[in-house]
Amino acid sequence: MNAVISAVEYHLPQTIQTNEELAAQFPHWQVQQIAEKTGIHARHIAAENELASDLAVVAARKLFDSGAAAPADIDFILLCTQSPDYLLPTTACLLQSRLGIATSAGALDFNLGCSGYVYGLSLAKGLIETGQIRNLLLVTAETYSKHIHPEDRTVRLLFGDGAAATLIQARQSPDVGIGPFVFGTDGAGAPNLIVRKGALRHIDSPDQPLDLYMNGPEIFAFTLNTIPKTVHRLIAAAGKSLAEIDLFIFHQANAYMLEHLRNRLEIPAEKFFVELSDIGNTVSASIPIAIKQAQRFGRLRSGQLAMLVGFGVGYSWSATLVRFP
Amino acid sequence: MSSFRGLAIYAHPPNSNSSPFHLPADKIPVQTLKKADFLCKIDKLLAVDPGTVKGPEILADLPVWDSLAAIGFVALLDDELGITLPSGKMEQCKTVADLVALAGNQVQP
Repeated sequence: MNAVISAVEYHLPQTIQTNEELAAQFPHWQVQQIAEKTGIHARHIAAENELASDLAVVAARKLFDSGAAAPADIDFILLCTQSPDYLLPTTACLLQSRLGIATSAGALDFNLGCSGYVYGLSLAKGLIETGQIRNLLLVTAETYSKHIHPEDRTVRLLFGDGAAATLIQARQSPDVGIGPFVFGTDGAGAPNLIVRKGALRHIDSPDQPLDLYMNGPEIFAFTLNTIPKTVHRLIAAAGKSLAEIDLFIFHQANAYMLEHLRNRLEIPAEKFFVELSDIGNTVSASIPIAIKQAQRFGRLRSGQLAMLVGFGVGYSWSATLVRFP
Repeated sequence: MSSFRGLAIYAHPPNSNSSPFHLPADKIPVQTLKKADFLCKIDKLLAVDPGTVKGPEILADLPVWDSLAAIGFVALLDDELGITLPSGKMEQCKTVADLVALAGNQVQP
């Protein structure tokens, strides 16, 4: 029995924030010059009372409306988010109720950022291929905009909000599937991408900088250090060559970073998917959004082999191969 | 080879058709630059006239030095010299000369 990605849908909040709006707010800032480097010209921002769970519900309903599955079919919900509704209860439990999924389903949250989608696929594969479940809903939903200080213009430019819902099912199809996986973690990098507010470590330290902090140069250096090696670890684990991969879909961090990684790995541009101009970096939702777009644009077709690579906050990273049905 | 090899800076052949992952460390070709040329590349990165930066400049005092310039410098080292910085090295740089020193003896007088 294979775990297979059967369907992907996503939802972006209605409000679009353009670079022109940022430029108006920061008139002495060279927004256009930076936008050309990052490849990001607009992003969607959740409304004041619109949370990651709300985006997740819409993405999941789109998936159900597509006919890929019904809520009653789902026997496990995995939700990856770093902007949950509450410290407790688990947001995946709230999703179960809001989506009308059976109370016999399992549900859990896991807290990862840009590596989260690939980790979610690994958990899904484990649950399905050990025979515990058959139909899993993996939701990656993020509203980083709520963690960002309004004056932090660079980080505001990079991140957008969004949610993706992925249906992973048990199939008797040896020609398609997910895996192998490679993983990586380096918690020494934690201070370089961090939100200190909202949890317990700094609960009594109101003078701490609490909003999202990102050390861009350190994150960039981490990525250059780690990701090429990770890609080659995966290729070795799979017993394949880079040339056998039909499409590379990396976490859509920013175009500048992705182009450097592509050059370092000597991947042809036509095999390397980058599409974040009007979406920005949507953290754990970025890879499934890119998958859906690649399918929509005809860049990823049935039977093709894609490499997915997630990397970021933690530091945490992971990569896998997916052959789509 | 960079004097920083002992500090685990990872070098790969820039603009090479060979993957660094298939070459033993002692076979990796090393790219070098004259210091004056390297400083000119920093000038270009900072969008200032060639010959502007000399070395003693304090980064925090340069109006054009920001996180994006720092990212550009990480990319410059990677592209031009095949040097990927280990964690924390950029944080320690206070002057342009400190940036140049990150290249070790791959930047020559």
